[in-house]
Parts: sequence; C-alpha cells; structure tokens
Amino acid sequence: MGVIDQLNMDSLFGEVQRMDKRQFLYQVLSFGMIVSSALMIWKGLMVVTGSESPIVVVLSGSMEPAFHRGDLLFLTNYRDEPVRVGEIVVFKVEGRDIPIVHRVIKLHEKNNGTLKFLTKGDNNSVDDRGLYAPGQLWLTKNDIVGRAQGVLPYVGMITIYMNEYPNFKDAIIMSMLSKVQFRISLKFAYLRRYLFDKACL
Amino acid sequence: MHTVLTRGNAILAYSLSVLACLTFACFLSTVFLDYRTNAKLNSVKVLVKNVADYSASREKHDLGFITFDLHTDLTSLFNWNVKELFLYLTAEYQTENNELNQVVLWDKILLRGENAVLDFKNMNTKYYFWDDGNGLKGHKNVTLTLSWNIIPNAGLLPRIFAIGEHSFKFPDSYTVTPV
Amino acid sequence: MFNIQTHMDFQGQAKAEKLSRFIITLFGIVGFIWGAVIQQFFQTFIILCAGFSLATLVTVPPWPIYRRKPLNWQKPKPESGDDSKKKKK
Repeated sequence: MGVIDQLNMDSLFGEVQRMDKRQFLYQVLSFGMIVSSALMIWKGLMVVTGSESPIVVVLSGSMEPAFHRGDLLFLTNYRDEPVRVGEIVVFKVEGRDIPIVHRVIKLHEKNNGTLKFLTKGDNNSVDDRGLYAPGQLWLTKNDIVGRAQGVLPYVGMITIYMNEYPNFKDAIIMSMLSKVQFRISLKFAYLRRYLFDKACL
Repeated sequence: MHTVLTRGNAILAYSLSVLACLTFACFLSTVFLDYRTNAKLNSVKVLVKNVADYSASREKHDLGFITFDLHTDLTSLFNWNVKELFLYLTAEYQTENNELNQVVLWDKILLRGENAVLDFKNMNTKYYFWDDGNGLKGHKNVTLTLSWNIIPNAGLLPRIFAIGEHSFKFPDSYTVTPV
Repeated sequence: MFNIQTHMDFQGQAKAEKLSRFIITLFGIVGFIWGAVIQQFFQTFIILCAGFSLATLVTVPPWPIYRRKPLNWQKPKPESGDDSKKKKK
C-alpha cells in the first residue's frame, strides 16, 4: 500500500512526467531485482548450510586476534556433524538478542548423543559461564546457530557502518538507484526504507 | 565514463573486483596444502583430587592436575594466507557417564612472525581439568593431543591434529594435601 | 558546479576505460606474483592500491589526450524548428 501511495505522490510532483513510463518501470523492476536476488541468495544459503544465519558479521573483539570487528564469518550447521573441542561456534543465549562467536573448550557427550559444552573467547581470560543465562552451566546443540567454516576480513564493516550511520545506508541505496536514474531516487525515501529494512531482516 | 564521478566509480569498482579475485587466488593457492606436522608430548606430574567444583554444580568432582612437556616446530605451517595458529592441548577420555570427554587444558595464540619453535618443559595447564563427575581417579587411558586451528587472512578455518599423541594414567587414589 | 570542463569525447572515454583496466589488471598480476614470492599478501594489496592510484591519476582527470576528437555538431538551424527538437531530445 505504502509503495503505491508514494508513486502517486511522485507523479503529483511531476518528477515522473519527465521520464518515459517505460524507463520508470525499468527502474522499479531493476531495484526489485536487486532486492529479490539478495533475498534469494540468502534463503538459498540457509538451505545449503542448514544455518538460520549462514553469514554473520563479527561485532566484538572477544576472538581477537583471530577475528576482528567487521570480519565476515561463513557458518554451517549440519545436525549430524559432531561438535568437537577447538571449534568456533556461534550460539544464542536466552535473554540476549545478539548471538556470540566463541570457541568450544570443554565438551561431554553421553552415549545417547546428548551433548553439553562450554565456550570461551580467545581474547577473554575466563570461560563464558558468566555470559550464559543465569544458572546455565553448559550449552547444548540446540543453542548453536552455526559453526564457523570460513572467514573474510573487513567486508562486514559495510553493514556495521550502515547500522551505526543511517545516512550512510541511504547513500548506498541512493547510489544503487542512481545507476538507473538519480533524480527520482531522491523522492523515494519511504520506498527505500521499506524495501531495505525488509531485505535486511 | 562521461563524468569524473562515473570514471572514478568505475575504477574503484574494478579495483575492488580485482582485489576480490586476488584474495580468492591466494586462498586457492593455500587451501590444498598439508598442515600436519609432528609434535612431541609428554606428561610429567599427574595427580587427581576430589573437590567441590564451585564454577559448576558445587558437587565434589574429580579435578586432575598435570604438567606436560611439549616440543614442536610449526614454522613450516605459516604462509601468506595464515594469520594465526590457535594451538590447543586437548585431554580426551571416556568415562562411565560420558562416551566422550574433551577438555582443553592449555592453549596458545601463535601469530605469524612469532617464534614458532615451541619447547616447553614441565608446563602447567592453563585451565582446570574438571571431570563431569568422578571419572578421573584411576583412569587408565587419557589421551593428550595437540591441535591447531588455522586462522587465514581469508579462507577456511581447518582444525588439524598434530602427529603424535600421548596417553597417561591417573593414580588410583586422591591426593589430599594441597599441591 | 565548477567552471571546469570535465567531459571526454567518445573515443577518449573508450581509451580511458581500456587504459584504467589495463593498469589495474597489470598491477594486480604483478602484485600477486610478488606477494606469492615473498609470501606477504599485504604487499599484493599495496601494489594493487598503487595501481588504483595510478589509474585514477591517469584516467580520471580529462587530460587533453582524451579530448582530441570532439564531435562535429551541426550548426543550429534558424529559430523555427527549435521547439519540437528540444522535446525529442
């Protein structure tokens, strides 16, 4: 609904009239292509890796010097692949919305396959029991979001900047749009935010 | 390519894609290398106590104490796509409670450029060797292994076991006096 | 914006693009080989940056060599047909 309102408003302002209708449609479609292909790749990766977030950005320095803020991590989460000590896992703790990337340092596996393990950040001096939910001593397989399989440095800085400086985000979207037609993109503040937020989540 | 801005943008974009290609080529040039090497391990002092584990359940659990010797030369593992080696010493054993127990006793971050010839004598462990119960006393077969997690500049994060492991026994009785 | 001519003619644009690609690719390849020889990827990166700077310097400003073949525009016709032409453009 919001999108359509915006389009009408634009034509009211007369910006669109200067453009070919076909050109305008082309712009909308190509932007839709960018968004939907990004979404497609993301969902496809989710299927292939088995992880709910196959690519994460490191936000803290607790794994330095291995991973720095802004590094990109590629995760997989195959259920039947055993967790072993030394592995770097990404896990969620109840009451914290941001997942944590740390290394497994202790692990006990029972005959029936139940597993409990303890993690620690390379750069932290103590293990993670203080970070877990109150009273929680171990992590289990269900807490794992993914295990780190690969790393790409610096690339994640873009998303960090985007979250910290919304203007930067707008500038990126704008430059994406400007490849097609710069003038009209100024009018699309609402549409930009709508589409981009959806793609991000 | 008409305005200064479009030319600058095109050059930047092209440079970035070349950089991406080079990074990938660098990754490819190192991904198939063999990162295994020898490590000599030995346990020196081994004893076990039975004390309350205040960090976990507060029940009395077995707590092992060991000191170890380690000798290895990891210089050959470093190349232009290895930023760091994360070394860790694992004790692996089986108990009645658990089919598999793995406890990291000691670790070390070895950055490229640092001295990679390690020779430790009678080293203390860095972390406590708590068992998940009372399975350590008289345990006949605890295996020590050295492993490393290779941290590349860009690429995969393989975990490699050193060639050479060491097994030891825990004594049949608890040590009561403080060590 | 500023009163400086920034355009290149068509052949100049083509030349600039080819040249910039050639410079960056060359520096990339040389940097890769050099980096592989001394086993320092950072040096590869530095050399690529040098290539980027050189390409920027050589092909971004509208140097005279990119403006040697300006288009020969037709002379403006007398007033009458002016309006319709503007719209078509």
